[in-house]
Amino acid sequence: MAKAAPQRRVQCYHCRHRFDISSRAMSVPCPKCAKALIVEDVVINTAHNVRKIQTCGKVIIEKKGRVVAQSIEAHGGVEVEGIVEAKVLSGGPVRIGAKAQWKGDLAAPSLTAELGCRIERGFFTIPDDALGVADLTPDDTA
Amino acid sequence: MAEQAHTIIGPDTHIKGDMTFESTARLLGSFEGRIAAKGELQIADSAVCKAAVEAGKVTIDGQVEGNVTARDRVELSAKARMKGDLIATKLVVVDGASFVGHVTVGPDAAKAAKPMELEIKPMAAAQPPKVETKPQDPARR
Repeated sequence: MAKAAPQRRVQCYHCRHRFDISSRAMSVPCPKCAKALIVEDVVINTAHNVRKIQTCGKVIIEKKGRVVAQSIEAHGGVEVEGIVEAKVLSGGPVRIGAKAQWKGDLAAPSLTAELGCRIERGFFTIPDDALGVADLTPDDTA
Repeated sequence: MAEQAHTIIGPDTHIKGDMTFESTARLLGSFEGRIAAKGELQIADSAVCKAAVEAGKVTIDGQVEGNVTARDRVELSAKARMKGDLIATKLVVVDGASFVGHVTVGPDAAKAAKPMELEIKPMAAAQPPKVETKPQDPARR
């Protein structure tokens, strides 16, 4: 008999409905509001000027990545090695790397800022569960 | 190697007012007011600091309420609880630290910050108590 694929629990970033998906899924429609959800990690390694980035996974901004956005909502957390200019709401831990540049507000359950990072004009709220995903285990959101 | 002398404010000490120091001070008790230092301020996990702080380096393990400006760096450990604005040249935040406030970190951040001015007046030398003498009433004589 075929082995069932491992599942993980996600929360819709439109209607906050929670449901289980395959851990290999990249995007799924919410069964309640029927809107499309990105559930994979969003990796950015080029310049991005966008209005909004939303994912049930992580947002990873690599060394050559630059994001200018109104808001970033990442249920799995945020890792920054490049440049971010946005209001960031994170459901997981946030890591600002040693060579990262940050401009904007942050609300996250935990923060790691490495020596050498640059932060300008940001109101930080740590810890914060603005997204209400703190009770989803890290393995569920990763 | 001989350890550098520190100013230690003990765990049973409560201070209100302004404080300045040149080298390193470790706060174990509670402090309310303003702190200006050239050296390093260490706020231990048992300490409560409700003060505007300006120092070369600030290490926070305890509770801080107030704005912190560091010419060199600020380090927030996992036990740190900070409420207030933070300006520093370098910042290290360990996972688990709690922080609410505006943050400005970078090589020019601390230079742009307005320096705190604390005027410490030397204590007046002990004077002998003045004794007031009333002139005697000539009618009583």
